[in-house]
Formats: sequence, structure tokens, C-alpha cells
Amino acid sequence: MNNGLTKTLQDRLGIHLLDYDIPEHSNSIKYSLGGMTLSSFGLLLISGILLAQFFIPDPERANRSLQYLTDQVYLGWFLRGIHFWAGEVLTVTMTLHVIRVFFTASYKNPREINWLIGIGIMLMMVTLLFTGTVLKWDQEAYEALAHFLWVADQMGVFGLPLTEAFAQGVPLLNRIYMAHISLLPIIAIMMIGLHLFYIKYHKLSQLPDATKPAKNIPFTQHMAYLRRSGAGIFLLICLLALTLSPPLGEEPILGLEVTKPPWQFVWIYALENVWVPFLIVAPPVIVGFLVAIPIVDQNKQRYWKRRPLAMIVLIGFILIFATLIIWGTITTMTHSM
Amino acid sequence: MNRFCLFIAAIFIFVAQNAMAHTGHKDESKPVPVAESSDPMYATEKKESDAFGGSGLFSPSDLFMQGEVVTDKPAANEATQMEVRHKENADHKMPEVESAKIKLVETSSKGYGIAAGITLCVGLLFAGLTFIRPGE
Repeated sequence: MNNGLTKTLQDRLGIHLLDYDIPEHSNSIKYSLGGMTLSSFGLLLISGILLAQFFIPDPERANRSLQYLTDQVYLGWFLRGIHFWAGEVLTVTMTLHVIRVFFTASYKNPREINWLIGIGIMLMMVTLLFTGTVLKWDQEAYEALAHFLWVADQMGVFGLPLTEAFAQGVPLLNRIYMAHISLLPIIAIMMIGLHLFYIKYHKLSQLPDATKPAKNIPFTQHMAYLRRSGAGIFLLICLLALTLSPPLGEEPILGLEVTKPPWQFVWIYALENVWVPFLIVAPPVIVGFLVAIPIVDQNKQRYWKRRPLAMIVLIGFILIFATLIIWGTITTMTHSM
Repeated sequence: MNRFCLFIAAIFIFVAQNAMAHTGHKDESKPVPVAESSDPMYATEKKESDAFGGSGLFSPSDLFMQGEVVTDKPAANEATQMEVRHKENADHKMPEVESAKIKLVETSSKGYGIAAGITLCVGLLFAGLTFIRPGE
């Protein structure tokens, strides 16, 4: 009877369509980093919906509502911890995923468009991370927003929609909250859907050093692997939330500039310390560089040993970022906005 | 399985040490005094300002609050007044911002036991999936 019910459900829901073939190497950590990132994103969505029940997106009450959540609400501290650590883990797995795709040259023909979609998703995630930082409305949040507003101001008419002047009388924090809980997640989800569609359409890339086509497995087998890795990611996030509570300062003191951004943004803090306009120049240069990769790199080779220039670029990129993060952590700001 | 567990452990260590090391509040420079924004949009509640404003309970000459002697007599001379002002300025300190840092969760936090139970359940789920590997 159970088999009959399963068969009926599979038939009615069209689950058999998931039984398509994919390469066997999909069931490995390095080819499942995207799936792990998706697990973290799912957890962020669920914990974010729950957090939204307690958050007041008003400059005068935002910080206090979070203080109340973490101190007074039953399991509130755990919920916030899950949301925070899911964001941290997502940053790590997403970065490793991008490095893996570059390392195995999976962005090459015919997957250029999917690389670009992936860059778009990464931008959405970084923006979500930034807006999330601002929402807690402590000193760090205030200073992050002050820097952002400075950049928006420098952009003139193009930056106007990102400033208070665009909707006078409406607190910018309110608009940032709207972006964080609706606009950005909706765009991100649509892009993730498109990303998955093109993975299905072009199939997962073969191993770069493969001399013959890889052995195939059904996609449902990969889903089982992703389910296990997702559970592992969830466990990791729970452990982090259970042991380490995310930072949350008091309400900001306006006009002060004393904190540093979260480690994901501290590299730009270091650059800004060298030359302030880097704050405006660096992000578009990096995005432009990432976008240009599949267009510029027309080398058909995919194995890393046959792509020395690409490997130099990759190692250089990692070293520069690591150096900037360390430097940004130890340096002190020599100017104020 | 071992590789996966190692991977999870590696991320844990990476994230935790990064978080501890880079959440960014070490070696901070002293607060840089910058003109306070007058934008009411970001103004947080002034906890003590204007506490008695307009109440009529205190006269405008009530400049001194608790612990300070107030006399009805005006200051003896200008030098004394200057001295008072200097003292006020010396007492005035720049606001200090307490850095927000990642802290260890206290076991007395509300619902800590339940949170530990949830984590344990997720751990058991992961362990079960790892050993049984259904569908793999």
C-alpha cells in the first residue's frame, strides 16, 4: 500500500522528472557548495520571517526592539544567533563556491550566462548582508549607513533614490528594512531559480581533467547528498548560535566614527583608509572584473595546470583580499566622513 | 563521511575565529568629535535632555543639579564665574561608545535548554543521515 501511495504521489507530483542524470562527482563537497549556500539562505529566510515578528523598523526603537528580543523573548537570542550565523556561513560557502567555479573553469562556454547570474546573486547577498548590518541600528550600523550615504551623495542624481531626499519624511531605516525583507530576497530568489534552471539546462560541468565522460547518477541521489550536507550546515549554525552571541551595541551616537565594519566589508575599510574614493571605485571595479571573466577568458582549457594566468589571477585575488582584511582589522582610521 | 565532518569543522573554526578576530572593534581610535547631525530622522531619544523643560518647577537660575551647592547670591566676581565654567568644561567628557563584540552565550539565557535540545536533535538528524545515507 505504501509503495502504491508513493507511486501515486510521484506520478501526480511529477517527481519522476527529478530522475535525470548528472555526473557522479556532483556528490562531493566542492560540487555541493552551492547547495550548502542555498541551505543557509533557506535558513535565513525562515529565521528572518520569525525575527520580523519582533523587529520595529524605526530609528528610535529598532535597537531597543532587538535588545528586548535577545534579553526578554524566549529563545529570541537563539533565533537572532541562527540568523546571524547563517549569514556568516553563507558568506563562506558562497565565496568557496565562486572560487571552485573559477578553479574548475565552469564559467566557460556554454555557462557564461549562469556565471553572470551567479555574480548577480552574490551582489544580492552582499547587499542583504549590508542592509542586515544597518538594521540593528547600533554604532556600527550607523557608521555603515553614513558611509553608504556618502557614496550615494557622490553619485549625484544616480544615488538620489538611495538617500533620504528621495522620500522625505520616511526614515531611511524603514526603506532599508523594506529592501531587506522583500525587495532583495524576492530578486535573489528569482535569480536563484534562474541559476538552478541553467544548471539543469547546461548540466553540471564535467571534471576539468576528465578524459572520458563521467559516470552518471540520478539527480535524486544528489538531492539526498544535499539533504545531508544541508543538515550538516544547519548543525554548524545551531552550534555557533548556541555558543556565540552576535554583536549588538547600544543605540548610536550620531557624528562619531569609532567602529569597524564586519569582516566581510573590512577590506574596503582598509582601502578607504588609503584613498577615500576607493569606497566608490572599488566595488564597481571588482564587479566589472568578475563580469568580464567569461568574456575575456576564451582559453578552452579547463584543467588548472593548463591555465597558469587564471591561477595567478585567482591566487592574487585571494592574497589581496586576505591582506586587506588583516590590514583593515589592525589599522585605525585616519579620517572621518 | 570523515571528509564532510572535517569540512564542517573547518568552516566552524574559520567562521568562529574570523568572527572573533574581525568583527571589527579592536584597536579603535579615540572618538573623533564631529559635528552632530541635526537630522531628526536619526535622532535617538534624548534620555536626559529637557527633563524639566517648560515645567515651571525650576527657575532659569537652577543651573546646578544634584550634589552641587546653589546659593541665591550671584557669583562674587567674573573670575569665579570663569572658574566654574572651566570646571564644567573639565568635567565634560566625550561620549564613549562601548564596542559590540561577539560574546559567549550565557547558559542562563531564556530557553537555553530548549536551544541545546534543538541543536542535539539536528545533530542526531545529521548523524542519522550520515550513517544510514537514505537515497544516496
